[in-house]
Amino acid sequence: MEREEIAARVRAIIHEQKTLDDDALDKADTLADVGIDSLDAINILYEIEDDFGMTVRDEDSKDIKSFDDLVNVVQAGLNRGSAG
Amino acid sequence: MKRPRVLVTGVGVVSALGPDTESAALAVREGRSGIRLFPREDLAIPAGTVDDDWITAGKPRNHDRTTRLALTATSEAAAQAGLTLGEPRPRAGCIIGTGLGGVETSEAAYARYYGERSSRIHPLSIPLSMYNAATSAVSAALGLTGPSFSTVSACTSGSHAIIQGASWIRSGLADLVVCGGSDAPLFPAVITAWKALRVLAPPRDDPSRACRPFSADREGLVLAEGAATVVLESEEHARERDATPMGEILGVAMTSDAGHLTDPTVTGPTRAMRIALDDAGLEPDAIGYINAHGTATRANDSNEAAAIAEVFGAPRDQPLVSSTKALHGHAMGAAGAIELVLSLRLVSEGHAPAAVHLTVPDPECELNFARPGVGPRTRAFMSNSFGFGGMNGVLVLKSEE
Repeated sequence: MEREEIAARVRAIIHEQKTLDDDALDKADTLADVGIDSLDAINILYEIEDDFGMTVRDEDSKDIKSFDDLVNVVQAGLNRGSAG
Repeated sequence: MKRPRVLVTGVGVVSALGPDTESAALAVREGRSGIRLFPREDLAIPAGTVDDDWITAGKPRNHDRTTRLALTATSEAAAQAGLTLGEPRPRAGCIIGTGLGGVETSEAAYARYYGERSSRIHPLSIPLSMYNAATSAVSAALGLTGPSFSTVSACTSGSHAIIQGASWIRSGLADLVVCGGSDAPLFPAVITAWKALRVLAPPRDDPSRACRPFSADREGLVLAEGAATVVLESEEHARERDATPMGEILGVAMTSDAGHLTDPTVTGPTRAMRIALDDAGLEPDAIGYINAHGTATRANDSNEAAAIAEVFGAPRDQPLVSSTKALHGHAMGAAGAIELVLSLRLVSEGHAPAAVHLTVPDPECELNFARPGVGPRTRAFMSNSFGFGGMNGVLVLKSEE
């Protein structure tokens, strides 16, 4: 799956979970900057796992700070899945 | 030191009778029942269901139904008391009682695990279903940064919450407490478990009359959901902020049967009513109305009638008595709070909620039943709650005119 497609789906999931301006994620350095707290983040990971049919490992989830980090983790998880 | 007087400056209710106190009080004055068949063919029991449209606070994603009900009732109570969002209130506390906690959330999680054999449980299942979730949400909504916890004592949880709130103000632990009860038990596994206990009223031709407290033909309790909260504050605190009192908590009592898990004793409720009267400094004849626990089970009603006779004497000497559960059902941990608020409202208008669905007199339940158009002899009233586990809570209040 292309990175752009992954990013678009992750973005849609975040917007479903949280009321945000359309460009909020692009302007912010971190997810926390747009008001995504620890519980929001757990919810978002749960929805991502459902949507993509993959698992985000606990050790990977701890390092997610920005929207880009999140997309990277999802992409890595999908690659791991297809390789395995 | 003289203990502070405890005033009620705001109330809120969401129940099978409507989205707020006004609609519920009107239904009680008219004797109009909110009981309907639960809308599921395999679980078609008479039930006191709250319309989804009436739940106007909280979000399903972030709050269990029990918490959303508590937030809805609290928004009404806070508005009436003139409590607005703003600075944290370090001298204000919160106690929302619940009998069963976040049933919506826990049933969904168990359905995934046991039903679908899936290990993918929603990640907020624990914090949304915990018994103090409603207290947490209410304290956050109003900035109540003083003491908070939840009371869990089956059908007495809501009354125990208000008793504790009054006690905190009397002891100086807080100046203001938002307290009450909330429960949303109408989900399939909990309904089925209640059916197994063989105490639910069965569906008949007219489900609106399924709950018949103190009637010889009573067939059991009607499971319901709802919430009610009250804003309690010390007289001094209320005066300082120009709050208008609707009533005062004069006396409180808690006793335990220390006996059977489900069968009540006469002595436990009797002692609770006597201690509450003593605490209020009132003789039995100073009470104008008793809102009985009155679940319409065989065991509760005859037992409670005996306890009332112990304390108040023969029916001609008793205050007016009724159980509004006939109209809104048994909302578990919310019941005592809902009934206290409805009683306060009606007594302040010079009414006593009439005893309805009392079709056949039961010689074991001879009480001075309230009738339409007959007002209480005084504005002091008693609200009874007696829960499974033998946990009893009684409050004595006085309404303003």
